[in-house]
Amino acid sequence: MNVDVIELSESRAQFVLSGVSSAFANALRRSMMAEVPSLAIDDVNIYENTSVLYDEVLALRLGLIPLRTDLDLYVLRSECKCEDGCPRCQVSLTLSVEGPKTVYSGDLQSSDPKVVPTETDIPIVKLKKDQKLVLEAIARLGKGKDHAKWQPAVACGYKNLPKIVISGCDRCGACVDVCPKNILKLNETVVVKDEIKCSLCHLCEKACESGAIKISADPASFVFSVEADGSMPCMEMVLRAADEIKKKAKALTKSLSGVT
Amino acid sequence: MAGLEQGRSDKSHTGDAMIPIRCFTCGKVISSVWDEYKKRAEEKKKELGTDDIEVGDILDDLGIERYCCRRMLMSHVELVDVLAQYT
Amino acid sequence: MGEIKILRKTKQELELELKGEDHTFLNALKSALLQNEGVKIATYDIEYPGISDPVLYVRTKDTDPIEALKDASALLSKQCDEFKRKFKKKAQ
Repeated sequence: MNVDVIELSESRAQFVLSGVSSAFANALRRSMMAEVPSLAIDDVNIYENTSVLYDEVLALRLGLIPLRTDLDLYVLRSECKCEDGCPRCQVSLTLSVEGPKTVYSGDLQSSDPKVVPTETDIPIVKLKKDQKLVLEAIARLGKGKDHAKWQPAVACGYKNLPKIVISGCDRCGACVDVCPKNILKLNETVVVKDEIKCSLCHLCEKACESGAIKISADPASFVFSVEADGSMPCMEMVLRAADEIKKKAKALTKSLSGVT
Repeated sequence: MAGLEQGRSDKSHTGDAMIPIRCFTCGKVISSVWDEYKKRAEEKKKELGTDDIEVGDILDDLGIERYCCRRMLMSHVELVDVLAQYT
Repeated sequence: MGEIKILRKTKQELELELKGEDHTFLNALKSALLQNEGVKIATYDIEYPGISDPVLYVRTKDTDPIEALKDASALLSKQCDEFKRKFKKKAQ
């Protein structure tokens, strides 16, 4: 197994994972999207809503706002010892506004200063004069497999590592013009600028009359592109995804130990 | 990729009351740039004196790269102000 | 998580249900099982997607299928550790 990190920031990452089965790569991808928990508003007590949005539409909009999540501080409701909600498994956010005003995610008042919306300028609803909104929202940890609002990864995917081989090039330049990613350049022969950007569309192969360019993909290397919704840093999300798979494997080993 | 925003009047179209919080397809939060997007698009319309403007450069600048997210902003018709009359 | 139900068990065969799991874990587990020379067949089925729990079927040549499953599970957690270690190292 080999890992090469190409890009890593708070919100996005690109890395090459090689020497693993496609099953493992896929498990990692699925784990990032569906198994890593994050906080999202799950219950809303609406005391007053005279806005143009129905209560349920409003609640859905609130649910989709990403909240900053520290997974060391909170546990899933199903794993919490309490009966119906405690500070270990839920956070309360309140909202009380009167129009005329546009309500933004930044107006939510959280009971835990660490759990705040990742972006403060998400419009929730526009209030006209005399319209009012008073509510309490309960945020809980959840998993992407239960609802997309709990999915910490957006647009997370991988492709096989592209391999471009050029031999016997006659410098016609047809492939350079046709490449939609602009990764080919004409020097003495055609050279590849950024192999990883190739989308494996094979247009260059078709354009090349002499068959000098060959595109293939390495079946054991995976170029991951991961984007986080801001609830946690990208790096943490990737590592937690591996943790989740490991947890499952450990749990299976444990339950097998009693079986003969 | 250039986005084309066509001129239209609110009343002849159905739409959402508010801009959706996230992109329907990929889940990226796109509503946070809506105010800025709308402002820049209006400025551009005024500047060019037409409703037929290309918004591709604005979307690029706001970090809306994928076409699933771009259509969320480009095709959105904000209806809160219309609906507000009937509450 | 981790709850299992053995449906059938012979010397070379094992059929078990893994509660609450899906393709995320089962596909990786199946592929880890098949890397073992002693495993003849490893496959799983989710009868009704989204409703049923997956049923894993393992048939070995002559080893205990439980042991093969334990090995596969250990291999997976080892891979996860290796990935985490290498990712952390390269991320700096």
